[in-house]
Amino acid sequence: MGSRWLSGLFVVAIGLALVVPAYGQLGYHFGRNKIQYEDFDWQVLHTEHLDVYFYPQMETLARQGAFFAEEVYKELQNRFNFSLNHRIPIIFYSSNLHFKQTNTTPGFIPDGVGGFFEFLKGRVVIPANGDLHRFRRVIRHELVHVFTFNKILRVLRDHRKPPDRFVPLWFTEGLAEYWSGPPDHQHEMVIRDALFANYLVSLEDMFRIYGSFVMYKEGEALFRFISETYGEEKILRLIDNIWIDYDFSKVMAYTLKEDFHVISTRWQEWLKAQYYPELEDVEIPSIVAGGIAAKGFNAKPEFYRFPDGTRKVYFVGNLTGYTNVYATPVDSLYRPVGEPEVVVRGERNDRFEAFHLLESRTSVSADGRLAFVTQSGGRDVVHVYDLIRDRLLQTYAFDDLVAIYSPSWSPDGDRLVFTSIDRSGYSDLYVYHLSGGFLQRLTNDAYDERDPAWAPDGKRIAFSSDRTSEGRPGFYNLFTYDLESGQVRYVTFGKRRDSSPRWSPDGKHLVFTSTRIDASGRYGPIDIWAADMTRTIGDTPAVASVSAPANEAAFRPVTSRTLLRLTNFSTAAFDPVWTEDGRIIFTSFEGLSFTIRNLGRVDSLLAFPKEVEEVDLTQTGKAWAFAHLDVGINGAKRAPYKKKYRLDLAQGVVSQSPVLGTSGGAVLAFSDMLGDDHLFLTLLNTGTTQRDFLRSLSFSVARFQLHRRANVGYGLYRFSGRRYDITDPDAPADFPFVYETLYGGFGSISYPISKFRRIEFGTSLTWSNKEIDLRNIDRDALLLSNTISLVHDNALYYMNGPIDGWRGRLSLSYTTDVLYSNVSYFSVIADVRHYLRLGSDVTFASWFMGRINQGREARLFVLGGSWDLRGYPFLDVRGSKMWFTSQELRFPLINAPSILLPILSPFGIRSLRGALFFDAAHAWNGAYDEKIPVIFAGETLGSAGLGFRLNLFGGLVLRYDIGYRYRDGFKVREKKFRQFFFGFDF
Amino acid sequence: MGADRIHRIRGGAKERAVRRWACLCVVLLFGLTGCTVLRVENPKVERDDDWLTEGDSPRRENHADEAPEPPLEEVWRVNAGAGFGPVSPLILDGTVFAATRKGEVVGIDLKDGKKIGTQGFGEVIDGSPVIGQGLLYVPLAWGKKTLRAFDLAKATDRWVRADLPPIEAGLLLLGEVLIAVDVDAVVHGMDARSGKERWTAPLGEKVSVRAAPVAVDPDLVVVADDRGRVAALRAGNGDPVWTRDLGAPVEVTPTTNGRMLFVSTTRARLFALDAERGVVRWVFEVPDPRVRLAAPALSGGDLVFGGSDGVLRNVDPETGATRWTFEAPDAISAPPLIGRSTVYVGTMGRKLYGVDRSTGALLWEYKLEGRIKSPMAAKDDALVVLAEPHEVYLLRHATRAITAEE
Repeated sequence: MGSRWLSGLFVVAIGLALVVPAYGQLGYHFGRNKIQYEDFDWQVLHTEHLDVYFYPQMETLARQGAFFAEEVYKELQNRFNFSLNHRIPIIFYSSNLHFKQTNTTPGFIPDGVGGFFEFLKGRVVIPANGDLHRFRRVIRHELVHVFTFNKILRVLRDHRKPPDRFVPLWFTEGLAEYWSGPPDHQHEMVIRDALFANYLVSLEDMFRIYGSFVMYKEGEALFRFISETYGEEKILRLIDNIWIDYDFSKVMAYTLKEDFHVISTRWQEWLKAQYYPELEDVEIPSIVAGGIAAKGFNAKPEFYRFPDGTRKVYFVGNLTGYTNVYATPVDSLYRPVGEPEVVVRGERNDRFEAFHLLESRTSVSADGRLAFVTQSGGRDVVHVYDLIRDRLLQTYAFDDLVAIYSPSWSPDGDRLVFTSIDRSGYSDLYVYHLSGGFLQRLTNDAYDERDPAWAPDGKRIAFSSDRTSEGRPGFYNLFTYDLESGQVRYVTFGKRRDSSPRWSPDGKHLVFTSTRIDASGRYGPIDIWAADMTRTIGDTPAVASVSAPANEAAFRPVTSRTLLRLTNFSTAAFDPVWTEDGRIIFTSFEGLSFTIRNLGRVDSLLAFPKEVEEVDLTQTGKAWAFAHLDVGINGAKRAPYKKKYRLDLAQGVVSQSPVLGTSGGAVLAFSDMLGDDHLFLTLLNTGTTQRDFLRSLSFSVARFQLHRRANVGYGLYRFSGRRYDITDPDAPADFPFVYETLYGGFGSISYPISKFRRIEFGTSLTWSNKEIDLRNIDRDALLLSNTISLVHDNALYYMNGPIDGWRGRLSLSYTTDVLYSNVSYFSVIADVRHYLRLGSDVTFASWFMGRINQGREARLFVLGGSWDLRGYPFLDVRGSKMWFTSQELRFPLINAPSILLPILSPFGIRSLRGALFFDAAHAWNGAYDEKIPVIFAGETLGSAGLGFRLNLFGGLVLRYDIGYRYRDGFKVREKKFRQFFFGFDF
Repeated sequence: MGADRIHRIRGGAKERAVRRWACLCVVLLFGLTGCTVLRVENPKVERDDDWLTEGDSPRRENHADEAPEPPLEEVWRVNAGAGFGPVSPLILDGTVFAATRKGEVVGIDLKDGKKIGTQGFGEVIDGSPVIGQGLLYVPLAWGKKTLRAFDLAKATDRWVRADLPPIEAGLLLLGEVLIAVDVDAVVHGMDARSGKERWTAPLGEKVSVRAAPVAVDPDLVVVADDRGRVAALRAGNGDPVWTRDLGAPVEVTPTTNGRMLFVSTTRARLFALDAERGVVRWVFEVPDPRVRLAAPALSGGDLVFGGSDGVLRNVDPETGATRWTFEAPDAISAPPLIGRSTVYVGTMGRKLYGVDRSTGALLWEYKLEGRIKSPMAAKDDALVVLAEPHEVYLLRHATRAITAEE
């Protein structure tokens, strides 16, 4: 039913998309732009089981990815006891920023998405982002999805069951995580937090955390439990038994031979037995460390003391939905003395398009310049912001660098070191010399360099990297880069994940975070550590980064290093910064939230550490490298990408109306593997008699090309038939039926200026024959219509609609009959919607709109109903000119979080919000005051009242409005109205 | 009176016409739904070369001297209407029986591939049926009636067991005793003629059995469960003789030569046990512990089995020493079939391979419509293969030259 309705809507949408240019004045939409900044020269590597799509700049990385994929294919063939009988298309991007440009999915891809498997074409789409371990793990994860999907389809087909049932999302994602590798540090972090903060969601309630990161990790933990308790083979049995029932809990009970609730309880007990014994010793960050920014999602703290002595802690945070740079003033004990204030407003304009909230650190120079990274256009840029004068000083962009992370100032404030990913997809260290204006590359290899920190002496740069000889399984150690010799030396070593180094102001210590695999075989909590940097290290470098081979034993260091564990946290700490006052500011993960905290008494912590570890740096081994798949191995071949259209959608549609009779049609949609080129074919017939069949046949052929920055569309169409058209000025107002035949073609170009703005051009040439029997009209016209629009949208959406930002559109169009001059009119549309955030959950929304159609056969605009002019019948207010405004105060009544307070979640209730509204409009045709009551024209109308918005399941919004409506310039108040509908807020 | 009679006559004609139409509709309905009756002439007459049980004998040897020699050609292919579990096709005289996961058994004429009939038994058949004394015994993996004895001559049920849990494992017929193991790992020995329970032997709690039981000799039955425990029972009364824990689940049917028992596990190991006492004689181990080994086939000095790694292995049944290996590109989950000089094996890659029994060299290969995950059967120089999506193939020795493209 749902799909039928959707498909109907789809046909209408396509129909409208083609008809609209013919008149150049009707429906429109807002929305941000997904921009193709890069013109990728796609190539295909055909391996034994895969077709790997890549572009030449990332060929080495793609061949590594192909190796990983073939490697895991063989493993999954064993795990699933199943082979795929088709080739798997895998599309690689070398960075997240390139991945965001993909046309394989129409939606926007946020920073944290590691890849996806798309059912329609069976495509796997994965970006690399400098970290080969992550890249490998995501490939494994997505290929588990491919096998799971195909295996389930096979099971259902074997049993002649329709494919309308599937395993729950926690199952597919949990299995993909479980079979993509051993539990990683993030898994441990989330599971620990869920247990210690007491929000572990039971198996029965998994739907409450549908699609969340917690769901992924809990699912993974469930599979570990199933494997250890019931046997690994039961996992495959669960898939084999999917046909048994739509209710997966019954499938589980049957397969595991245990009541579903018992399974859930046993799983929770199993987890608690593993983690709860640790509770005795752990420190809860919110108890032992003072809070600096404890609301929202905050990370990457930095500190600056102004010349006047005031102190501020800077961080990247998401308190409101947009990510900004914030500053919290603190006293000498780093207690906040004010609310966080926004320093840089992000994600609302082209310059600060997007922050890497959890990935890129910030840095403040001695003279108060804040360096931070945002995406701006198709690449990342480094901004330098003067904190004293409170203004942006400079923005640095680099042609060859795509992604940039974690800039760090040199002590002299003239250089910035950062890590960056170029088009090859590998992450390396770079230094930018501000005064010289040139970029210096420090490392150039496949290892993943992260979070550089310039030493106070200016001679060394500390950083985290997997270039350690323990790096193959995914461990990271700390290193220093010697700027004079170009040599890289170990700072730490071992089976550890050492991250985010920062120097103490005196240069004697490096503070960093680290986690290790403990005796249980799992990663422990991520704690804050300090490395003693006072001991002289031998002159021989551990690893040569530039000139010398990395695998020579002679380059091993000859001494040891003392590492001090300063904390014993329950879950995780990130990004420690050692302040000049001897404190450590850091990001803490606790209760599913990232907060900024500070630890005092660092001297005391150093004197009495939780643990002292002496790292023997003489044990460092040889360098390592992942293998890659070469052309020719097992018949692997490389070829340029050739576009082939494949069917995405084939849908028949039949509709029946007591007035229009029965109509039927079909839609066929095709696209190529990369989603760059789309073809739409529609066929529709509205004929009511056999004789009428050919006359009422409608069809369209349209092509849309999305691979360039400007999206181009063109096509041909014939639309013919009787239609209900309340916008036709010639149609009777109370019976607006028109029979029209249209032949023609259209072209459209949408050029995105930025993510938030675009220009749209549309043109069409259409032969039109219109018949209106009731008025004895039979009109021919050759219509030429041209439209130009400017669109802006940086609005921030939440569950019920926009809550911040603004969006607007200005359209100009002209439609004329070039043959008979029967039609000639111009259109102007101005539409602005602004959302003023009065509090974190309260928004004042304003909508102003003016529309004019002027000329011969100018069409009517429409208003009315719950979506705009409330209290009036749906679309019954009509006029060729109109203005409209709506003011609405939106506020919360009930919020129903699904994880931490899941009371209403089982009912699907996500939120109940209220809205005080005031609407006003005036539509007219001839004179402004010329009243036409049947279409409410010629008078100022309005309404005011109170509305309720109930959000169900996060997607369906039910609307109920109560109020009074006003007429005749608000002189007349009519009776109270109640209106129930659905849909998002404007 | 005359008018009244005429009216009655006309009325009778009308009723007859309605009845005729109703009958026609019923017939049409049956025809359209494919529920034709499965009936066989003289089903009690069994020949030595009939394939009446999984593996061709209670020892599950999967060996047939009458298997054709390659190259083979497709003689016919029949759509069985649904996919197949790990069930063996059966051959009785001139009829091939194929059980589907839709719960039906399709009867096909061995000669020309014409469907003789289709009999619905329930929801799902996941274990191999068995034929004996004119009865087709069918285990059902879902529903209430989970074991049915179907009289092939009368096309009616002889008896039905509705008191048993689902049965996923194949059946074993030893003379007048029918042995079935349900999903709760209870072994049932019952009278094959009446279905009456003679004995039961529970193997343990929270255990399932998917592997068909095998008979070491007429009085010794071996059952392996999905926790890896192998149990030998007396066929006459179900008394335990020995048990052995292999430490890894068993999901495929073992095979035996009467002295030794060969059991594949899901964790890369094949165990050779002393059939009399259950002592482990030797263990064959694949280095990758994730490899699931398929059910073995046994003939003389050849013990042949595949694995999910796509490798077909021939080992010495006495020592476990590898004789040869053949590497297919796709997983092997079905047991091979050993012919006089050729070993046939089907893969998940839609391929049927014929390899030299003595060397493991590839002799012939053929691409089918879908994956092969069921045992095969052979008779009269013909090979019966079940493949996805729902195809039953009959292949014979090619009487014409086969080109490379074919």
